[in-house]
Amino acid sequence: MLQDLATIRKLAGKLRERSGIPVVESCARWCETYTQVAQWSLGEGERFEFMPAQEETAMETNKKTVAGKNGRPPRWGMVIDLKRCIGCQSCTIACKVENGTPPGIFWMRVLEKEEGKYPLARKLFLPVRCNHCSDPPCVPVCPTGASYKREKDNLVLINQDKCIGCRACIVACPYQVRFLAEDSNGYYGEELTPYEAKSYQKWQPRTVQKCTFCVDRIDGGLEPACVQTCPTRALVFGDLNDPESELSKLVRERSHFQPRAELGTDPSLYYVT
Amino acid sequence: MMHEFNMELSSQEEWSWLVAIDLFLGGLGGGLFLLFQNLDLPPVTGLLSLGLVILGGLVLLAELGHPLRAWRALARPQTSWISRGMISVFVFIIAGLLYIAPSFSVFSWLPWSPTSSGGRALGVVAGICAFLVTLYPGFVLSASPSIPFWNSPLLPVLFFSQSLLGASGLVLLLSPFGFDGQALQGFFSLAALLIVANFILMTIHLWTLKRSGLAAREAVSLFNRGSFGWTFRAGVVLIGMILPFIVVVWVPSAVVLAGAFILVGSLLFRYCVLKAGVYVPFALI
Repeated sequence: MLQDLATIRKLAGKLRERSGIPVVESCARWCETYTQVAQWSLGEGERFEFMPAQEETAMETNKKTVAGKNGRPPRWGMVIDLKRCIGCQSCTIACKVENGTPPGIFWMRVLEKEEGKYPLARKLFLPVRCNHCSDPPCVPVCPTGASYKREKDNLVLINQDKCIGCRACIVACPYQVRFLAEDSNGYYGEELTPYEAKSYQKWQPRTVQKCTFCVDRIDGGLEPACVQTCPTRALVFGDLNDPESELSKLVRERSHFQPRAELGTDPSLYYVT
Repeated sequence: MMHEFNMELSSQEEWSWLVAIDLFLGGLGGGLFLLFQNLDLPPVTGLLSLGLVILGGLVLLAELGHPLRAWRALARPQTSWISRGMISVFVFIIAGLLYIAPSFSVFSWLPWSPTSSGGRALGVVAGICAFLVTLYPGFVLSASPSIPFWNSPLLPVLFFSQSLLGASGLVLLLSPFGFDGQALQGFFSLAALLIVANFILMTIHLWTLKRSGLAAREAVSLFNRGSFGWTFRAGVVLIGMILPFIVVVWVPSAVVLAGAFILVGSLLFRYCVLKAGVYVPFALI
């Protein structure tokens, strides 16, 4: 059994290295689930352990990236290809599943707009989320320093232990992508499901929460959940400071815009059109 | 809060009545202290101004998600206007209390008086902090770059002048308790002047925004429609400005009523400014 799983993980890792196809990531996730099931099947005191080959590879890759390919620290960013986005909201759901956000709050969501009239009507889609700006308006307004920019990779994060819930950052964010959960109720009321009880540990009620670019996954060498899930590969994640990264190439080669660029926030998110 | 999945214009919904009441009480307290210091009002008005600011702070605590962590809000004066405001409030309360205390016989044993050099220094510190308390809400709101109604250098000025107007209204309301006719006559003129000044400032603000972008125009149009429009036109303009102006100029015997009107208008002004915070919508380019 162990041997089989290890082989699967190695194969998944190799496939991912060669192809970069997200479905291989799904395979790796399936392996993690399988590991969990295997652990449950063991008796007390026994521990099911193996280090997935795919994760090892990804973590090594991440370490290399963090060190900086051109001597500069990474600036994590995202390119959203509006020509590829079909408004399926897979990213919205993947974010919910990964981060366990409470009812009514979506760290990532796809906005929709109808244009024109029949028979020339069409629907436009715009995935929105925290843009992890280089000059974020939400950080200086925070009176406690709970909102901060992680210097090593430009991620805008929130220290929930410091947040007093004054909502100044929510109001200051030009993209309306910061949220405050009034309580810790789940989708079925006060009593949380086992999944909610586990996932709600990522945030505190009455403090501000937002997209972290799945910081735990990034630190573990994985892509954000929304990127991994997008079936049309409309979301591309990577290092904006690396001129050879896929998203840097997309920004160079395609027409693009940054949301509300006129405000001077320098978002780490580009929409290519 | 439920977030929509469309690209329509939307107003901020995070700050509402509680914040409006906090801004109202804080501004009223700061403004009253400035009037107390500069127009030789009785010491009890100075004490009242401190009480109002403390009450405003308590209301703000109720609005916070984690009130017990409120002390952390003092940590970022270098960038955050909320932090600067909190520090101003704290220093104002301490310096103001120390400045006023010797005026009351209970504290006559204190080694300074409001006219001694130490007392004057405390008065200057308290006065500067009171000025900041009236001013900082405008700066807090104007730090939101995508809410054009707030993102204006005129907003701190508006908040300051509204604070003075509210304070003059409170003085008129309390006038039956210990103001002589001569002093009161001066307050009639001051209240009338402040009403006119506020009206002009508000008109300039709205007129400028009416000729600005989509979100700014939407914010201004809110003042002209629905129940919110009535709140502004009847509450802020008619009750808060026109009626008290008529009273102080032509019916001075009803001055208490004018004070109450001004206070109602001053509170509703804060509420209307908060609710008019319309975001610039996402745009597909």
